[in-house]
Amino acid sequence: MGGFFRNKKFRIILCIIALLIGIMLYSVTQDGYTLPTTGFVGRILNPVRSVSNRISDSVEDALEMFTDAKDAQEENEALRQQVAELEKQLVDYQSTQNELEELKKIMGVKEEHSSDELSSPCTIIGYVENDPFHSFYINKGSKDGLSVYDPVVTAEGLVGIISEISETYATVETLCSPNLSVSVVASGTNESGIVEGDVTLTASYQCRMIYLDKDTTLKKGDLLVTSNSVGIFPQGYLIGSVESIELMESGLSYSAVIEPAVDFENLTSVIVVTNFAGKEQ
Amino acid sequence: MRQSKQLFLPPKKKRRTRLRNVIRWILYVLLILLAFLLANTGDYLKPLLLIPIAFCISSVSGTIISATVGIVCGLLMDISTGTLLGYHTIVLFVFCMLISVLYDRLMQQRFLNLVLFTAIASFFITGCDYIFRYAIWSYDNVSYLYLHHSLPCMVYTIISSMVCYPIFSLIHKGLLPPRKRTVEKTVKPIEE
Repeated sequence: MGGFFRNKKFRIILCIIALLIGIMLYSVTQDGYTLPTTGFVGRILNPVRSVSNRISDSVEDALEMFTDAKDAQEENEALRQQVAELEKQLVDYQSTQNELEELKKIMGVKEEHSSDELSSPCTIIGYVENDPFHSFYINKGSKDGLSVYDPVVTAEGLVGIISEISETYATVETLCSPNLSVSVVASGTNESGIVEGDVTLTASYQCRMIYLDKDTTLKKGDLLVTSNSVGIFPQGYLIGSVESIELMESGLSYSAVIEPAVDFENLTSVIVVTNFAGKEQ
Repeated sequence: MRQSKQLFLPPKKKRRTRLRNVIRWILYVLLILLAFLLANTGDYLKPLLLIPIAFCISSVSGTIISATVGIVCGLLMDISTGTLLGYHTIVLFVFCMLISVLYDRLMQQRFLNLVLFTAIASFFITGCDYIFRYAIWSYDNVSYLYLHHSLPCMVYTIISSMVCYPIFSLIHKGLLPPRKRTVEKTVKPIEE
């Protein structure tokens, strides 16, 4: 044993240990900077290290995929349920918002025409097949208090009248129909006239104001409202605005093309005026 | 006569034929309902789909069944077009009966035959519609409606019959009892 400590090998080991301790001590004094030799070794080994690390990572991921599959599946299921719930909430929110918008519109109409009796909102359930005048069906009928020739309106203005009714649904004839004649007055000039549907304008959802005097003061953009409270239509509902003024075929009077205030193409619900002052019984 | 033929079929075949007939009629009803739903959807010009559908069914059915189909499809057309109840019913009733008789005794299951019948019927129906719904009321420029409304509707209906025919011939090929197939198909195996 005593021979070993005096051995040359032991002295070499001691020298190496001393060298390593010396290196350690030197490293400590470098404030975190590596030794030049370490840097050199690192430069050679880093790519190898990076590749090996990448391989190790992917193997680990692959293994995790198997080991964590159950957890991931459960998490996925939970997230799916959460998404479905949120989607349902979104649909509810949207329908509530639409309902609110509808109610706001009705409130607007009710405030504006406080003397008129209005129905609850009626939804459009379908269109009359191939009707050139855009007639449609609504989801309320005589059992909801509606009757034939009741005016149909929206917050934007007059839509038309109920032309046919059953217990559960009604057919609405629009302003585009030549069967309807509405007595109107221009809001600015107080010029009066009759608005009715025109066969040539119905495709573009327009109607015509007929029998205007040659010295008419109507101009493009003038607004027209229903004029009197006697007959089928109540007073003060907006019909639309003047689009252009043309000479009639007879050459004796003028007519105006009217752009209805109601967007017939995007109509989804309407309100029926069930009673108003001066309603023709 | 058609009923008595069925009595001579073996019970197994008879059961299978009955099942096929049930499936065929379920498909007919579904197609009729689909056509009715489409008729009430959207504010645009559409073909009168119920006409070729009624004709396709009538071309392979007996007189009474064809008449019933004509009445049902006519009533649905009356509801969807908002016309006087019974108006289209009468027209389709007569046309369907006529088609049933003609196909039974004179005509063959041909694509052109059905298109021709649809063209005649749609010309008649759109023409009557134009006269009784618009022309009679003397609207200004009423002929505009015929050119821009009735005529396109007729053309769409004829085109739709070209789509309906292959669908129904597929149903008939798979589900119709062989005795109601065309003369050629019946004669061919005997010749062979």
